[in-house]
Parts: sequence; structure tokens; C-alpha cells
Amino acid sequence: MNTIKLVIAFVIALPALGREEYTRNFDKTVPVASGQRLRVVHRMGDIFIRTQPKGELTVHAVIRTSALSGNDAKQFADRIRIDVQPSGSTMLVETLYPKQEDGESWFRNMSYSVSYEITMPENSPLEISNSFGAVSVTGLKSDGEITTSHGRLEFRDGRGTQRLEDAFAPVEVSRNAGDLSVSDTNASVTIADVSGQVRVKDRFGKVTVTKSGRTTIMSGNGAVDLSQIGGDVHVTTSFAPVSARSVKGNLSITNQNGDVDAVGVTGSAELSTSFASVRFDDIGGWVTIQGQNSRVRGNKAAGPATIQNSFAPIDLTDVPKGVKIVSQNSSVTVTDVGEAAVKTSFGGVVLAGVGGSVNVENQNGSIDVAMSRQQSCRPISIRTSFSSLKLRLPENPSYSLTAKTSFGKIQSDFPVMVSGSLSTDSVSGKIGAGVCSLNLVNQNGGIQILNSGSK
Amino acid sequence: MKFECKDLDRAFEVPELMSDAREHARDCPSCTNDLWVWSEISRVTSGLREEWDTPDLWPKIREQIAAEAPGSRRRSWRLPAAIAAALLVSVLGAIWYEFRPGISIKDADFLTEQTLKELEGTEAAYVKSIGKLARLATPKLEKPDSSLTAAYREKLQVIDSEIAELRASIDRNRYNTRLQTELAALYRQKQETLQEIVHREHN
Repeated sequence: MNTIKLVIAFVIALPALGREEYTRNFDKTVPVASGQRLRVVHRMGDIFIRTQPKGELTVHAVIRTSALSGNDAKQFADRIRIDVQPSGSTMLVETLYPKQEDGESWFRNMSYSVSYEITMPENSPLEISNSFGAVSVTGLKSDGEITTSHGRLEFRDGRGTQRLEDAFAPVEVSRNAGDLSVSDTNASVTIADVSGQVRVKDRFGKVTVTKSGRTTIMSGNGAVDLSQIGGDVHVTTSFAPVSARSVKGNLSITNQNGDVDAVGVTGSAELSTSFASVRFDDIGGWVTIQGQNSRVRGNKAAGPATIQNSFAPIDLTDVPKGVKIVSQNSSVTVTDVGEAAVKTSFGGVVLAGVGGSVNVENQNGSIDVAMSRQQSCRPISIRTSFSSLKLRLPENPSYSLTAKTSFGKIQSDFPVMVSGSLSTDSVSGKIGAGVCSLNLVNQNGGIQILNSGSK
Repeated sequence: MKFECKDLDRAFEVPELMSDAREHARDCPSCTNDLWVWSEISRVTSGLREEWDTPDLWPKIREQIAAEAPGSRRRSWRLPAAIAAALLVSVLGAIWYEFRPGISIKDADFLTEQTLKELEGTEAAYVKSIGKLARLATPKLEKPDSSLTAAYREKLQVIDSEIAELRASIDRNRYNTRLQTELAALYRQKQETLQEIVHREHN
């Protein structure tokens, strides 16, 4: 029966056999001169820092080891050194792990970690160098420089210039009065309530910024989401969407293969992407869009809009200062616009409510232009081929007309005082007083001059 | 019930509490981290279950028992039965010990020998599987430059370089749970990236 008990005891104990763990605490409190820099050099463990008004540094560390025997675990833990001492003008906190010496083969089976809880003076500049551990800093009222990897980095309620760097783990910042720069790889960056400038460099991770000053994002293959930015914004990324909302300043977004969305910008907007859509709404200045195979949609720009694109439709409304569009294989629709200059091909052009001069060149695409009621006329030049050309004018127009087509007819709702020779495919003359020039050219398609009121 | 950090251990035992735990973790970075590590470990360890044949084990045990207890034939069935029961208990115990619900992540800084062994076995299989995926993705990655291909190549280089660095750290700290979890996360990222590339190739 004893044998049975022994066997049972042995097999039950099996999982626990082989490893022993040991934990040792380290505590030290030292005075720190006002404004003295604190430097923490560490790896393999978390660092949690909070601040206090008084000039005192309190370090609490938990040293954990795991080994084949309890004795080995303790021996290794005892050899892990934590230095808390002045180094020049800096107060240094450093973790020193033992190095393997000759004959110490048991090192191979060691594992270890050290975690810190530090309370430091709030006005001391802080420098942290960590790896394989999370870092959390709350209440720092001085400059900070924090680096870690493979561990979440959190920074809260700070004041001063902060530089944060992480890799393969997210960075989260909330509330800092001062400039902030963040660098990360393969992980997200989330920033909120930073009153200074924000600079973020990230690869393969999403960047989110809410309520900040001037903001610059250099990302690669990561989405960018910005809102309530109180200064100019510059964004570069690729293969991921960019969204910017409520920007008090100018906005510049350079993207590739990712959507661009800009809403509520008080200044100008410079937007570019390829093989993805661009959308803007409520821009206070001019708008420039550089697209390639990009669906472009826009509403309300106080300044003029300049758009280059190809192989995708363009649809704009409410651009009183006018548009200049150069595209290929794109349809163009613009409503409520000042002057309009459009060049495209293989797509229809529809301009409605045009209040300024018109210059449209199309190839193999229809054109339909409706001028708004205006106090004085503006020059109009429209050219296309192999499709229809329609121009809608309000009552009492005043144009000097030259219209020419081939294999098509010229029709006008308004009386034309013809000069020179008269034919169905070419006409010159005056509509009304003939104040502004009106040139209409088509090939293999008709030309219609319509009264806006007529159907 | 107002969920607090101290309730987290209980939430790991009682699945019904997990929604409260997640809700609480939204505003609690410490618990967010614990939950994340827990889910990572659960995810990684769920793939560790492995079965293997041990045809020699039972005869050897029986042989040994027979040698140790040459006495009564009547009692002979009780020993194997007890050992079998004990083995079953030990396996269940091992599973419970490794993945016991009440465990706090801070208490699981280190892997046990057995978990590490299983993890290393699984890692080898994982690496082999990733190797197969990589072979499928190679033609796509070798195609003339496009910005998408370049982005994928860059991402794979970043991951590979980090895997190499992490493995060097693990060599000196093999039982450290964080390091092993991070390595598993990197392998997963690499696998997902390769799958994306292969998927695009097929599309």
C-alpha cells in the first residue's frame, strides 16, 4: 500500500518538479536635489513611476527568479544588483544582472525578471531605458525621454517635452502640457490632450491623435485618425486610411493605397493618394488633390480646388472660388462652383450652377454645363468629341458665339445674330449684346445651347 | 457589483465575470495588461495540447511493479489501477497547475520545465508551418517591385530581425513568460503577414 501512495505522490508532484521560484524585494529611499535628473536603466521587467512634490526618490523593486533548485534561484536573485546612486549630475537607478562565469553551467536554466515601482520628484527630468517590459509614468512635470520595447508604454498627466519610443507594443499618452514625440514599430500609438506639438513616427501600427497642437505623423502601413487638432497637420502613410477631423490650421496628407478623409479644416488642404478614395468636407482655404485611380468627393471649400486624377470619378459641390481639374478617363461632376477649368477624357462632365468662366476640354465624353444666374457674363470655352455638348444659359445671355462641329447639328434656344456664312455644323454670331466670348467645338456630336428654364 | 482589480483573479475562474472585468479594464491599464497577457497565454497554450504514443510506458510500469511486488496475484490488478488513476490525476493536475483559472499573471512570470518543453516543441512545428507559407509567398515577394510588395518585404524583415533579437534574449532567459509570449506574438504576426501575401497572390 505504501508503494501505491508513493507512486501517487510522485506522479502528483511531477508537474511541480523541476523548477523553483524565488522572490526578493528591494527598497531604497534617497534624497534628490531639485531638478536633478533621474535615469533608470533596466530590462526584463515593468517600470511603474509616479511623482510627488518633495525631493525624494523611493525605489521598490521585486526581483523574481526561477531555477532548477530553490538554492539556485535564491543565489541568482541575490546576485541581481540594483544600484541607486548619483552618477554625475544624475541620479541613476540601474538593474545589473549577473554574468555567467566559468563553470556556472546552471545559468542556462535560470530565468528572471525585475519590476519597479518608483516614486520620484515631479520636477526631475526623467530618462528611462528599458526593454522587454512595460513602462507607466504618471504626473511628470519635467522633460522625459522614455524608451522600451515589447511592453506597453503609458504616459499621463505630464508637463514638459516628452520623447517616447517603443517597439512591438502600444504607446498611450494622455494629457501633456508640452511637445511630444513618439516613435513605435508594429504597434498602435494613441495620444490625447497634448497642448504642444506632436510628432509621431510609426510603422505597421495605427496612430490616433485627439486634441493636440501642431501634429506631424510619419507612418508606414498604418492607419491614421486625427481629430480636434489645434495647428497644422502633416501626415504621411501608405496602405491604410487617414482621417482628419476638426483641424485648426492647414492639412497635408500624403498616402498611397489608402483612403483620405478630411473634414472641418480651417486652413488649406493638400491631399494625395492612389488606388483609394479622397473625400473632403468644409475646408476653410484652398484644396489640392493629387489622386491616381482615386474616387474624389468633396463638399464646401472656401478657397479654390485643384485636382489631378485618373480612372475614377470626381464629384464636388460648393466650391465658390472655382475648380481646376485635370484628369484622364474620369467623369467630373461639379455643382455650385465659381470658375471651372476641366480637362478629362472618356467620361462625362457635368457642371451645374457655374458662376465664373468656363473652360472644359473633353475627349470621347459628353459635356453638360449649366451657368448660374449672374450679373455679368463670363467667357466660356467648351470642346469635346464623339459625344454630346450641352450648354445651359440663364435668361438674357450676352455672348459672342463661335460654334463648330462635324457630323452633328448646332441648336440654340436663344436667337443668334449670325455673321458670315450659315451652315448646320458651323456658326458665328451674337447672342444678345455679345459681350463675352463663347466657343463651342465638337467632333462627331451635336451642340445645344439651351435656355436654363427650358427642358 | 463594482468590479475592482482584486476581482480579476476570480474573473479568470468565473467566466460570467469576464464581461465586468473587460469593462473595468477599459479604464484600468494594469488590468488591461493582465487581461491581454492572460488571453495571449490562453491562446498560445491552447495550441500546446499534444498527444503522443507511449507504447513502452505501460509494459515497463507493469514490469517494474511485478518486480517490486512478487506477492499476491489477487492484489496485482489494484496496483496498475491505482497507477493509472494516479497518472490520470497527474495529467489533470498538470493541466490545472499550468492553466489554473485563479492564477494571477504576476504569479506566472515563469514557465515550468514541462510547459517550456511543450512550447519549444510547438514552436518548432509552428516555424516549420511558417516555412511552408514562406515558400508559397516567395514568388509574390520576388516579383518586380511594387510598393505593396516592398511594404510586405519590409514588414517581414522587421519581424525576422525582431525574432532573431528576441531569441537571443530567450537563450539567456528561457523560462520568462513575457519573452516567450512576445516570441509567439511575433510568429503569429509573421504567419498572418505571409497569409495575406499568399491570399493576395491567389486573388
